[in-house]
Amino acid sequence: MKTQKIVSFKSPLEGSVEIIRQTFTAAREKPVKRIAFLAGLHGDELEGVYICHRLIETLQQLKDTRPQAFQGEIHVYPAVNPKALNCASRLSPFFLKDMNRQMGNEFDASFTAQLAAALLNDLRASSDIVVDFHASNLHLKELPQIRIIEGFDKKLLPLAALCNMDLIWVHPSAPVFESTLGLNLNRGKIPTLVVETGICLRIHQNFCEQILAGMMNLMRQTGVLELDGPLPQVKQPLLVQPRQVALVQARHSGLFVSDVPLGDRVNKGETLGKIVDAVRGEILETVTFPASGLLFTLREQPATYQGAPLARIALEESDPR
Amino acid sequence: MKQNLLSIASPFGGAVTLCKNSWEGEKSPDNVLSIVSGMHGDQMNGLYIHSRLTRFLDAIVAGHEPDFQLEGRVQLFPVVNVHAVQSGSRLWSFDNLDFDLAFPGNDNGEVAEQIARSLYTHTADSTHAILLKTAQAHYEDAPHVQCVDPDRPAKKMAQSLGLEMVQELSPAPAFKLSLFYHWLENSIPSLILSAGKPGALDRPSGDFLLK
Repeated sequence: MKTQKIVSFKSPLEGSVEIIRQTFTAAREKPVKRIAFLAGLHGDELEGVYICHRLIETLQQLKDTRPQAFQGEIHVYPAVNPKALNCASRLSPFFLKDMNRQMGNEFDASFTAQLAAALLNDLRASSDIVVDFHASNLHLKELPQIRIIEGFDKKLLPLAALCNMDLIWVHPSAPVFESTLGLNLNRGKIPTLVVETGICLRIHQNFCEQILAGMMNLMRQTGVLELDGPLPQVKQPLLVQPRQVALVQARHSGLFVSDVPLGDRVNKGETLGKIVDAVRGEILETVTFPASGLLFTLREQPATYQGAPLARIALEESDPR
Repeated sequence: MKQNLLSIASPFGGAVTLCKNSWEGEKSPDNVLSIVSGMHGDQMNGLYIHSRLTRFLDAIVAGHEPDFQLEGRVQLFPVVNVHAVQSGSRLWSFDNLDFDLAFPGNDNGEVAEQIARSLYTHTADSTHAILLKTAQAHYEDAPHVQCVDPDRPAKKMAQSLGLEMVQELSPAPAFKLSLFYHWLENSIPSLILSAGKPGALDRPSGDFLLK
């Protein structure tokens, strides 16, 4: 494994801020494909950081025992926003900038924008396929899924279907995605899969191991890794188009309490949970599922305002392949 | 007149609200100036300017300012992100969402989206609009005007403010999610007035901008 600093900024006090890239070179002169995995654009999203650790660990073992398996080149960027990760904060500290809203922003000279530009340029120069790992926000827990902006689905669906996800969600574009890494790379013709899993500030090892297996399968199926033996069984993901997602929102502010497990197949009319007024000891609302399907998003943060999302249900199945 | 435009109950009592103070002249009530502040919780100068403006406009309406007459309508939105202002932080720690990246908002969305929608709706009929802010973290702004690709009415409006500096902004892609962008999209002559530093009240700058 080759360790490289793709960018290094001297810190005003001591040390430096660096983005580290771990590279597993190909056994052949010209790599079949170059694939990159990255995590930590948001400093409170640790699931992807752990997946990158597991990837490095697994690939290093493979390199030690089967170096000829590496037909392509593999880059892992485990912690691309180290300052934010050290603070466990979504935004880059000091200037409170969202690194994943700085991509392609040529007018911003801030430290975060420079870090984002360095990462984007390095990925453009070194990758044919990119996987960008994210966890959910402070409030919602997500089943392992890949999100694809409408218009890129034709190119990305065949790759996404190899990744052992529970779900692939094709959703409309919106201005909020304009300055994200995923959109900028996909527009630049580098297929980029955006993975969402778990919740921020936590690690769900079962989700991470599921995604690790998916990434190993992706590398085998794209020829980056050549291994003997049958391909592993991966999940057939549920393909969800924009109109196939039912959002459940709170009608009252209060404490949301649910004991329905994430990933359950749920039926219309069944109880999702309740919203209670903890001060007055009252049940404000019994929340029921508006439709049948796969419960793939569930609120974990109990404190809830009226209008807040409580759950998402994937309504129908279809085969993305 | 003070109006409560939106009230969302908090989980443990109280509410998140969006309020508007407005004064209406009789001569040209279709001329509407909207002034917004408190989009971020660490921007104190806008709140101060609003309090001074409120007293000033009340005095005009009461006839205590004989040199001034209110002809059109003025509507002030002093605080957009109430919880962030109360905590003195730029963002509300509950969701760390930037309210100025929530526009045009959503009546049925989360708190930030509902407030954004209400503010957007209630300023949509403005003939002029001003957003009050301070410098970004760790900087201090001298009082100045900010604008984006200004047209003739916006330039005229900027000149009328009598400030020495006008900065033309080069907007980032995320600008499309801001209130200012949507004002411009609605062809409302709009400006940003920035002064001072976050987390601090700069009364001389506030008084200067008020004039």
